[in-house]
Amino acid sequence: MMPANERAPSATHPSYLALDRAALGSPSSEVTEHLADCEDCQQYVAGLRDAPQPALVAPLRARIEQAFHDRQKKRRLRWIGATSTLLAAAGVLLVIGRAKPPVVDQPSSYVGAKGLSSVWIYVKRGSATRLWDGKQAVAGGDRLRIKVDPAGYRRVEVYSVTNGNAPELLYAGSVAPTHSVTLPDAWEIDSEPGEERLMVVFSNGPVKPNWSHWLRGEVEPGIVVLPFVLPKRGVASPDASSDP
Amino acid sequence: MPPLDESSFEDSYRKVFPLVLAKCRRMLRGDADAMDLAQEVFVRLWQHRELVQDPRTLTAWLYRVSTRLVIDRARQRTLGQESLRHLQETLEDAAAHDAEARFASRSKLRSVLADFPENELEAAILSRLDQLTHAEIAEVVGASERTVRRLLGRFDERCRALEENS
Repeated sequence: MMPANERAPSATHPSYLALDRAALGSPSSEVTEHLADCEDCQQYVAGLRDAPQPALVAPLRARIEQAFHDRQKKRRLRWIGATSTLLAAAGVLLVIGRAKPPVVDQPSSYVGAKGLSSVWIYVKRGSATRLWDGKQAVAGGDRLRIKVDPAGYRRVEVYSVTNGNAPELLYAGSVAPTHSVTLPDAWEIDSEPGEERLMVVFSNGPVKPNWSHWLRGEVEPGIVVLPFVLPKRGVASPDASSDP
Repeated sequence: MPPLDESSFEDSYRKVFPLVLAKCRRMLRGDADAMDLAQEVFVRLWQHRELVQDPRTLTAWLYRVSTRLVIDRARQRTLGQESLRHLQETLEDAAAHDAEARFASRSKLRSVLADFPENELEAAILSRLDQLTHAEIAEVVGASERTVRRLLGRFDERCRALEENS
């Protein structure tokens, strides 16, 4: 026997997706026409409008709360790891100047986690642009370009972090929440010893940085702070363009 | 559709959860499995509610996420036997290119879930189980219709190869 929430399969029926849209009040004209005559589909849509078990509301809320805390905990752990690396770094670094945006000549690969805000860092050396793999060293003269997937957030800010100084704002702007975007600015690496440290902040509006808390991994709800530490060696040689 | 915000949680639950549960029940026969998966999908929906404020985006998101989650769970063998059997039979029917064609061996069939590329399984479930058109699948998975046709074609080819080898 077929479950109540299904109807006999047939090429003449709209898909379940189309019927679900109708149940949410957004039917296409074809589906509206079909529903007028098809009892099976009418029953399916009517079944979707039956109220679900009210008893599930509380457990669902509990799961949502739990999932929120789990995500916060994961972010905090990631932050703690990154902060340890930051504290161990001796050198002071700075991402300097603004350079002409590089032309990315290599297809990007996905490096983020499903459903989370993600960041891609492109390193341009000479004429070659590579996606930073999380380990490779950058060098003085390299240019960085950043692509972000906001995963629902509407604003992104990029900071350069230097030991003992307040992080320097490199970029701030609005982004479309549902689309990945390459930031319009690019930055050139200086030849100072140390590491390049960047922080990318996702939010839904301008935020006042709370570094004393953020550096301890205490990030308030509604904000995501992603730190990046790029190892650095001396000045890149022009013929080393294939080895960023 | 109500706006998905904190003030409308219960209203959103009443309107959206039945769709989620229906989709999960089509994929999974074990009611406990379907209910658990539906809750997982709804939790994720709530976490990403800013992205899905209109019915079209919301439903595409639901179909994409729930289908991928069920493939993950099937591969991790965290579904009950009844659900796994239903999913396998669905894919068996999907793979049969005529009424008589069936896999001779269940172990071969299991390799469909375990070994076939996720994007082909995803397209097959959306096509054969949810009866989506190629255009709708393309919208849900974020690919072109041509890619969808290619995925479904490869899925059928792999199934035929399995039949021949079994």
